[in-house]
Amino acid sequence: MTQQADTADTPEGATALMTRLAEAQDREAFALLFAHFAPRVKAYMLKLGTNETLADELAQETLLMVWRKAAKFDRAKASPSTWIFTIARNLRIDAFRKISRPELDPHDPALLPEEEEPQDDRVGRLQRARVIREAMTTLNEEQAEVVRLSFFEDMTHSAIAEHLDLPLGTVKSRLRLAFAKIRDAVGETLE
Amino acid sequence: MTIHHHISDETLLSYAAGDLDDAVSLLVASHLTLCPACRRSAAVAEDIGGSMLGELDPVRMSDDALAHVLALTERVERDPELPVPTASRNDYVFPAPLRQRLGGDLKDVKWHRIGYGIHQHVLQNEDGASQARLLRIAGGQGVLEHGHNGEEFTLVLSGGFSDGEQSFARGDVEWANDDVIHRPVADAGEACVCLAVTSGPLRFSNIIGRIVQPFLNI
Repeated sequence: MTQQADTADTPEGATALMTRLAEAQDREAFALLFAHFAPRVKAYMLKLGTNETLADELAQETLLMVWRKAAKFDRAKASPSTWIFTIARNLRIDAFRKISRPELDPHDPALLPEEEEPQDDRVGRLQRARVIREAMTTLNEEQAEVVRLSFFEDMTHSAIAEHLDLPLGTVKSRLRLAFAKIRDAVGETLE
Repeated sequence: MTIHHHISDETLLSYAAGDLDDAVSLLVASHLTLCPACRRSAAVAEDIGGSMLGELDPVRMSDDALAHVLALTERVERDPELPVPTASRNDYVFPAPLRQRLGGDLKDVKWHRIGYGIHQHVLQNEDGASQARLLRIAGGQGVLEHGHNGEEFTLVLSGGFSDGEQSFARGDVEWANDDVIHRPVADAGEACVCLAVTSGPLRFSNIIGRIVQPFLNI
C-alpha cells in the first residue's frame, strides 16, 4: 500500500491510515480519517435523535478518541469503520447514562480464549467488511428494516414490535434470520 | 470448558447496536468474556454496524471542527499500546466488566442473606431499567419456583445449577420470560454464584415467596 494512494474511502486505505496514525502520529493521516468518518459519525448521531450541536460534538469526540486509542486499534480484529462505529456507539450511550457502558475487555486475564487462535487474517478481515456490505444488500425489506431500526433508531425488540405493530416473536425471528444470512456469508457459525 | 447455553443472536445484535439497557449489557459483556463463540458472533454484529456507518450519507461538520480536534490532540495523552498482562486466567472469577462494576472480584462481594441458603448482592445500575444482582446459592439448594414479569437472564460464574432437564455451568446463560415458570437447583457441593438480570419483579408460585418478596427487593 503506497502512502500517496491512501484514502479513507476503502477499508484497505483506512487501515493504512490507521497504521500511519498509530506508528507516526501522522496528522495528515488523521485529517483524512477525520474527513471521511466525522461526517458519517455525525449522521449516525443525528439519526439517533441527537441535536445538531451535540451530534457535531460527539463526532469530534469520537475522532479525538481515534487519535488517543490509535495504538490499540487491532487491524487483525476489526476494520476501521467497525472500530470507529463501536467508539461512536459507546460515546453516545455514555453521553446519556450515568454509568459507562459495560464493555468486553479483550485483554482481561479472565477471558476464555479461542481453542485455536485464528492466524492473523488481516486480508480476511478487510474482505469481511466487503462481504458484509454485500450480504446486507441481500436482506429482504422486512429484515433490512428491523436491522435498521436496531442500529439507527435505538429500538429494543419490544419497541420495534410496537413500532411495526408486529408480535415480539416475529421481530426476533426477523432479526435472527437477517443475522444468520450475514453470518453465513462471512462463514462464521456458532457451534 | 465449553459453553452450552448462549446469548441469542437477536440479543447479540441489539448489544452491538447499543440498544440493550445497562444491566443486560453488563451480563452480555460478562458472557462474551467466557464464550469465544458468542464473541465471534458479536464481532460480526459490530461489523454490521461498521458497514452501516460507512453507508450513511455524510453530514457536514462545523467549520472549525478539525482544527478544534487537532488542537485537542496536542493536549491529550495517547493511550499506551497494550496493557502488559500481569495476571493469569485463574486469578479472577468475575469477568472484567463485572469486576469494574463491583469494584472487586468474588472475594470482595458483600453478601446479604435472603434465606433458604441464598445470598444476594444488588449491583448498582441505571435507574428505570433492568436490575442486576449477584446470587449465591448454597450447594444442593433450590430457588423457590417462580415465573417472570418480563425477562430474566442468569449467567453462571461459579459452580453450577440445573433446571429441569438442563444443566448450567460457568459461562452458561439461562434465559426465561413471562411464559416460563422454573425452579433452578444448585449442584451439590460448592455454592453456585450467578449474575442475574431481571427486567421485572419475579412472580413466585408459592405463598412464602410472595410473602417474603417485598422485603427482599427481588
